[in-house]
Amino acid sequence: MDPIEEYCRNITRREFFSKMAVGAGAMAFGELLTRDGLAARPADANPLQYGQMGAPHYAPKAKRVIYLFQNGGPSQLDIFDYKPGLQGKFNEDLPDSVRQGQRVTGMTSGQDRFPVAPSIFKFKKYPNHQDGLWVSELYPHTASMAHEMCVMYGMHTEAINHVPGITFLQTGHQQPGRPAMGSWMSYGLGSANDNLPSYVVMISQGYGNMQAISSNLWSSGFLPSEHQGINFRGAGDPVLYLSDPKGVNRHDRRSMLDAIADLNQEEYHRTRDNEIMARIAQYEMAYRMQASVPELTDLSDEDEDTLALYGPNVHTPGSYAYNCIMARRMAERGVRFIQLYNRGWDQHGNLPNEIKKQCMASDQPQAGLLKDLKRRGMLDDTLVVWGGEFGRGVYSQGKLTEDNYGRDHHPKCFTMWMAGGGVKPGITYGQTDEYSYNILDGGIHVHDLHATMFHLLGINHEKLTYRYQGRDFRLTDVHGKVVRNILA
Amino acid sequence: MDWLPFLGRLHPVVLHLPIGALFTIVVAELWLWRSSQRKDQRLLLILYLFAMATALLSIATGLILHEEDAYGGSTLDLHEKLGIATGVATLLICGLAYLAARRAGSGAASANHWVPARQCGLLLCLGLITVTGHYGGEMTHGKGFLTEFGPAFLQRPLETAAPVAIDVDTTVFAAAIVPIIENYCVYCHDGETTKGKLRMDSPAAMLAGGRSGPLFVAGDVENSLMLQRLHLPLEDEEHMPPATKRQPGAAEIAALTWWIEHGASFEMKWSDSQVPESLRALRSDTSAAAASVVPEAELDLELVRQLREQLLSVQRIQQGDNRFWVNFNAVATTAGDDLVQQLRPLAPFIVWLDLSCTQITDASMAVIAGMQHLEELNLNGCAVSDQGMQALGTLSRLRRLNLTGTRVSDVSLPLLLQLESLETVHLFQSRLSPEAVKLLRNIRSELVVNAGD
Repeated sequence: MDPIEEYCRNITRREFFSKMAVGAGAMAFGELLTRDGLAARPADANPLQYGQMGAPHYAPKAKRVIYLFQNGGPSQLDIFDYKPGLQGKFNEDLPDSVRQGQRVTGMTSGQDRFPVAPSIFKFKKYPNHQDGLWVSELYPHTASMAHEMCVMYGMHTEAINHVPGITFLQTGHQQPGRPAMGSWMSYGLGSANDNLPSYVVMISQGYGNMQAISSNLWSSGFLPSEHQGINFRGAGDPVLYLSDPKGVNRHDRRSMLDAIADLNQEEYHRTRDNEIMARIAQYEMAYRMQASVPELTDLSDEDEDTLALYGPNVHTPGSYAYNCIMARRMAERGVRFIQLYNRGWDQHGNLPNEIKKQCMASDQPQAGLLKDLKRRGMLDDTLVVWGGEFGRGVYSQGKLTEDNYGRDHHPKCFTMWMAGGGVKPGITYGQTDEYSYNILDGGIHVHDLHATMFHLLGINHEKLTYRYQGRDFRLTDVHGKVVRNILA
Repeated sequence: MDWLPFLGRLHPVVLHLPIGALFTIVVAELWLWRSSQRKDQRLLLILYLFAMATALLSIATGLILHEEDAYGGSTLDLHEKLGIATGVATLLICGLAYLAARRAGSGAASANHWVPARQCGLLLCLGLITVTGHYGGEMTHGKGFLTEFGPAFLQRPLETAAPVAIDVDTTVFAAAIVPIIENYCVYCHDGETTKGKLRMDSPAAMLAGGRSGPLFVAGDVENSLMLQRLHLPLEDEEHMPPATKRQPGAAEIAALTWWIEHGASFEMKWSDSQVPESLRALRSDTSAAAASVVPEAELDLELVRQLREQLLSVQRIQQGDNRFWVNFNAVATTAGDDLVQQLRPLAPFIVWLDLSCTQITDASMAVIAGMQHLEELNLNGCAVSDQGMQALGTLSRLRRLNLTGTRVSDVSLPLLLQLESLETVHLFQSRLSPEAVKLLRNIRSELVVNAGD
């Protein structure tokens, strides 16, 4: 916001009391002074103003994001990062030269030794636009889309535990309180569909050890609260309290909202509190969503062929498959940031059995989503992102046997992939050492990922800032480098 | 130890000796104007010999310095030739001075004609050394150093050509980078003065780099020498342009940085959508309007406001650009042909149009055909047929066309073949037969044809 305007809107404590002392007449006068210049919001004044930026910094390659967040930290070693050399190292100690004193969590720091646990899963090479992509037997459907995927082996993060890790991926900071990436996008670029939120969150439950996630992760932080993610629920009404109570028709609803909006406007003119405008905007959004959400969530217009792409669970609200097809429907309807959380990847013990179930539930739906987007021509301008908050370590947590092991958190390297939206299709990027422990080449820090995603969306990550508590904040803080090698 | 380079570096010191000597001789000549005494003539001879010796020493050190390769170009050539000429001239006047001294010593009564000859030679020498020194100075301090703050009549008009006029084929390099380089770099880095063996007066020369290596690494801002030098502290000797010169402004540095960051392309067009507004601002003559298709003034803001009130999304594709992305996402379930009709006045501004899942029919296609600058058209799920498609033949800039789920059939194949600028076409669930798709792929091998297979 224009700082002068913001200053005009501010009512200081001193000002408040002085107005109170002189009385209501002075208050009215104060209001008259400010009303003429500032009554209209910038968006009303300029029909071409979309979001704070007005328009993207540069023409975007991706118009929307579908972020398939794999909550818990999927094991790169058992899915994507193929290390055949480890087979001969079964139960050997992880060399200190590899570990280099790396900090491990309290769950394994007390272990006597760190025995190498090779993946028990068989890998196969799938054709892409380079010399092929190795994927394990856990992810055959996803692997069949190798020619669309850009697989990044060199992701790394700073957090070693879940909440800081997820918070870092989602907000660019380990401590809660910063705006989520989707909020930044909504704030910066505005909406492409005024009938739906521009930032939607959907959660699916997994198998085994599930880590808590909270609405902190899709909070707008210090940005105006209309930019927070809207959580579509997996059961019952997709959005809470969206249905009108019995006996209230749409016309009643409208006149009620108008009356409340008038009152809110008055309060806004008195206090200039932006949160009031956010509240009005949210009521209006809810009113429009009453009409748009039922149409959005009604799968009856999908043909059998399409539904089959997503696998057998597609009709179960709240399943990953259901959320994936919903993601495509939202993308089709102009939702800008579609955030899925797929829980259940935290396989500290009994990994081979648990990851099998977890992969089986996610493989076909996400491959189906890619295929569906691709067929409809939507992958051209939709950026799909897949990955967790960190990877998993090469050594076994707990007892290592021939057919069972567990893996602890590993932040120094993990695998993510992106597809569509201006990313080079069918490539792999980066390389890890023979233990998938350290990055040899092509490292991508979380801030770099954010900078790259923003770049594809037409946002210069250094320019989208918000002044709060006396300094300019941005998603990438003072870091982030666009990874140009993976741009198409 | 190789002491030759060290001697070469003495050139800037030594060269002042002949200059000082020659001007001392001028004073001596005036002082002894009427003297024909032998001792005075011999004194003058000694001064002349000193001037000659130091001139020759300057030439020798200068030639050694030349070997160092730090300098090149036509200014150096001129300096070198004039320097040698000066040396030859000092030899000549030494000869004259010797003859004059001998004549004075012979005690002859007639006038000593060697004296005026010697004095004429001195004037020639002074002229030569002045010009030589000037070119030497231009090499160390850069072209135009002398006159930079001089009176207006001394100022040469800026040699930079008028910036190229911008049209569709103008490159970013020509439009924004060349003017900066011409203003701040080429006076020391061209064919005439080639400091550091670096020329910046052509793309090939820039790619060749100079004595310190490549000028830049495309895409790598941090490892690009040109930017490193720009960002050194002003007092650093390596800072470029040198502290005594005009320094580029923040916008110009930002432009160079952007250009290198985006691959230092000599081909990227000024009209490319990647080019940010900040860069365009360098060219006030064109700015946004050049990339844009129609003057901003013709944009009907009131119409945009009305459309937005009907929940259409009408957005600039990027800041400062009046090419627009229009999408019907919010109203897809109700939007029909009448809404598309309303776009008519905006037609020239629209480059991306998303009508996916709307209720439009062939009746809208005439309006779309009027969008001459349209690059992306999404008709996914629209009830349009071959009949409506025929109107699209006029869209000469269409790059992406999404016909997923439309009623378009083999009848439209000739049209698809005719759209020359087309790069991608999506035909999933359209009514094109597999044979037609195959034919399309065969004939237009560069076209990406997505039939959902």
